[in-house]
Amino acid sequence: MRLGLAAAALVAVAVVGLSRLSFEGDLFQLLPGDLPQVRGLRVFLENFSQPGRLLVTVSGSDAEAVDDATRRIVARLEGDEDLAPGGVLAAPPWEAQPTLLVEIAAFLALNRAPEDFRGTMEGMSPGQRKETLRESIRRLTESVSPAESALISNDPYRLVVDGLPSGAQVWRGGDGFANAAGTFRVLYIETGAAWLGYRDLGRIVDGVAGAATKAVEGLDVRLGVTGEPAFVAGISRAMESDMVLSGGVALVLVGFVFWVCYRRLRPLAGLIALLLFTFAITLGVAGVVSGTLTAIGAGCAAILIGLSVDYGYFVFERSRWFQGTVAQLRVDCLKTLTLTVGTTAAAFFMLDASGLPGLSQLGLLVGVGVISGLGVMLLFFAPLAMRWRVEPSAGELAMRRLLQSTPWNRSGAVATGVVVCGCLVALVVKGPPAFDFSPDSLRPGNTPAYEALETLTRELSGEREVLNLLVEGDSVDQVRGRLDAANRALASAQQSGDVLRFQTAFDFWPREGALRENLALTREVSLEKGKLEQAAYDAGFTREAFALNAGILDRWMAWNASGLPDVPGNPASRWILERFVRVAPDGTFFASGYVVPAPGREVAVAERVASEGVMLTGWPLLGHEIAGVLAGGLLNLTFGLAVAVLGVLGIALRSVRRVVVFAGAIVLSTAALLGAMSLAGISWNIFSLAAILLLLGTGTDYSMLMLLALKRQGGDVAKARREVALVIALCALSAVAGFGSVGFSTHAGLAMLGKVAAIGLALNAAVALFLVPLFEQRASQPAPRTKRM
Amino acid sequence: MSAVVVAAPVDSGNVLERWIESQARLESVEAGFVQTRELPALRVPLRSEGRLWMVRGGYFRWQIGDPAGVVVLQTPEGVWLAWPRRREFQKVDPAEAEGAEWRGALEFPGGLGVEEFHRRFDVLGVAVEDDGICRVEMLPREARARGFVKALVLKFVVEGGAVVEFEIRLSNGGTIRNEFRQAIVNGSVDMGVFRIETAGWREVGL
Repeated sequence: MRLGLAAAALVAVAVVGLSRLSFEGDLFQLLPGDLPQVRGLRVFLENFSQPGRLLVTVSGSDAEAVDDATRRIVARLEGDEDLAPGGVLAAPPWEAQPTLLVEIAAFLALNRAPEDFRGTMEGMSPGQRKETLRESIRRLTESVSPAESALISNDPYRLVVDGLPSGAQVWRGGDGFANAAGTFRVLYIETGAAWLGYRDLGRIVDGVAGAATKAVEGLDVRLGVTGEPAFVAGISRAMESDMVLSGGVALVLVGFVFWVCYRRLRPLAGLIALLLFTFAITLGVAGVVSGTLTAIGAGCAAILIGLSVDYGYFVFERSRWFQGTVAQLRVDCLKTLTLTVGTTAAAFFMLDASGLPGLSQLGLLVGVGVISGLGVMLLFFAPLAMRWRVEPSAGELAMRRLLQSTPWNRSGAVATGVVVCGCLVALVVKGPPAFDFSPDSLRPGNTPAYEALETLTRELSGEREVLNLLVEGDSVDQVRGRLDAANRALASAQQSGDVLRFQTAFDFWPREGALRENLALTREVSLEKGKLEQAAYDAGFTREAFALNAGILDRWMAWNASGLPDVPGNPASRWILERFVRVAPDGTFFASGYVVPAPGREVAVAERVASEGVMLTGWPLLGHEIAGVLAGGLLNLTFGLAVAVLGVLGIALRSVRRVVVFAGAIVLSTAALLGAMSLAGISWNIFSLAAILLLLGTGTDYSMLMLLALKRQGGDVAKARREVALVIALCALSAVAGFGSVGFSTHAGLAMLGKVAAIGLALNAAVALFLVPLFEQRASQPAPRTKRM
Repeated sequence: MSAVVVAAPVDSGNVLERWIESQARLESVEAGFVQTRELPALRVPLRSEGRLWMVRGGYFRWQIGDPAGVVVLQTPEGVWLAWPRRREFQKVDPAEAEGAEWRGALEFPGGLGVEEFHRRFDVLGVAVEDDGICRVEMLPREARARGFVKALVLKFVVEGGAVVEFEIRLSNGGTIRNEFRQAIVNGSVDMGVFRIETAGWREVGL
């Protein structure tokens, strides 16, 4: 009855929690929100990326085929209310309608220092306009840049060219839409899917990708899909499949191990069902506590299965010859498992202090999971194991004999010694694993959206890493002042070679006083449009070449009559400004920019530019910050846990000698693991450090179990092996299977954690099974007496 | 009785290869040129005189005007663009100079070995005309340059290899034509032309 009530309560937790649980594809859920770089990156993306915008990339070796493919995709998606309700853009808005540029050109030409603008107005005065035009012709003669030539050709009075040297680059050619050769193009699709769940996002992304693929059939081009909807859908799907695949593989492997050992179907089915139940309870707790599962948290399934099954093995193994009631069996198992579950859960709970939310969630889930697993196995599996126990099969007996045989253990000791020595030699020769705190391991897997984004960055802006400038403030003037300071700092960094190039929102940011003052100066010149056009014609320009300047003069005249707009708002203006200027709903003003630092100078440039409300953000800077903050924290935790484990074990063993043997075994297997990591080219990062922490909690269990058995058996190695060798082997195999399954995760960091932990567990188990008994024997022998003459 | 002399057909591919090889052997070149720019936005072409110097070992100077209005200078130490009249200059990152947009306006296929020539240019056609001039139509291979250059046309005298004309046809419909004259081949060149004093000038971006 009481068992039934407990089961019902646990089912209720699982059902309620699971109904609340969803996958979280937001990368920032994995990162510590209190780090300045994380906040900066988040604020930058929230304000300057378009959440509902999907980017389709088209590439090929033939520019005509790429162009044709682009036109076909536009034709297919334009007007599709389901996939592209907000429209499709395959070229700058002003390419089809150049007059759209007039509005922002007129606004930005006014947005200059009044003394500069006065100079421009004087240059258009009757007395000076001929000389102004002559200078434009000279500039055309001397220009070495076809793009600059094209711009001056259409701006004879240089209202745009002189007024906006950096901003002018924005509307040069197909910036953001195509590479110069035309062999790579980007289409921007407004899906209107900013706030949808990942399944709906996935449907839209698939729909767009499918429609685009069908539209370009027969053309030799490659397509890619990226943008926030593609990331969220891709990451969430990868998490889902990671969880199902790694969990499924771990379940099959632990089931296989049980079958190989015991050849009993009913206990196996019961064990699998209870493992799934444990998993459901754990996810239920996650659902109740946080409601969302991150990409790293999704790795809990396989680890949890690999660890929880240990308690099932232990209970089943103990039940085989247990003389007593089920309640007594539970107490007996609890006595031994309390310590191992305690250290394992403690190690995982300690991940909460890692400062990395993804790892914290993984730690919480597995910590809760192993405690639930112990409870479930003791409550529900113990009675089943007692009820279904039968005489050992011939296979099981053979396995037990093998594990206890001298040749097996001698060979095992030699093999372990050779492997450990090999790893130690590698450690000495190759040195310890290299440090790599680049942020790559924090990014959720290599989804197609990432590949498409990388290609896009390479094609449109070159190979170099770009940092984002983020400037924020409470007022227009405050942001302008900060932008000015950032501009000066960046110009100085460029002079000294730390910065290769940069662009900020400075030219785009409104100078409120100057705009009004400058507009007042345009009244007279706007009335002289006809004479200005004739002068340009007389100087050698065509009538068409004056069109942009004429449009600007018309716009100034209109604004003189109706007043200035707060911000230019036509499609071309919006397209240009949304990359640089933003007012958040709470009234905070944000301005942006980009900086191309000299290789290796990212941190120096960031430090040089940083001031109140001004920062540079980017993945290289995030990696640097994480290395400084998180790695130190994890190392402290690891040492703390090591001391705690030794202390607890000291109390349990009540023997300094055995604690020394235990410490020796852990140091040896950890050193061997470092050698193996060095050999395999695995570097130190947050996840490999976390794996070491977890090994202290889980891998140490094997030596602990062996030493406790040796203590119980009065130091008799054969008896101790008879008692725990099989269970250690089973536990190690299942844990390696669990962590090893995670090693194939699409999340690079999680995969590394899985691999390092799997290698470490195998080394820990081999040392515990084959070397710890030898160390204990050697340590317990009395020291030889010196012979007296 | 009249005699008809039938000229042996000229192997135009060989003519180009021979010219490239002869150019690669040059120690130095100094030549004047007249540049004519025809731009869609201008009713009249822009003419200006210029001069170029090349010395084996990576030295190149190209300038328009005398005194120079614009100078492009390349030495083993780097690449500079300068506008002496405006007292402005730009030092170009060598990695970025390769294939940079402005290179299209200056890309001159002289002084390169056969392999380097074909690495940088895709030859579209070679024809030897009746007046003994070889006309080569080509495209830069570099992707960025192809974005704004529609074609490059080089004309040289088959006999002797002297370059007559080099024309850049731009994607926007404009052309930049350089007609060469007074070329001095393998003469002595004052290496001072490959230095430029930019102290006190303003450094600008393109």
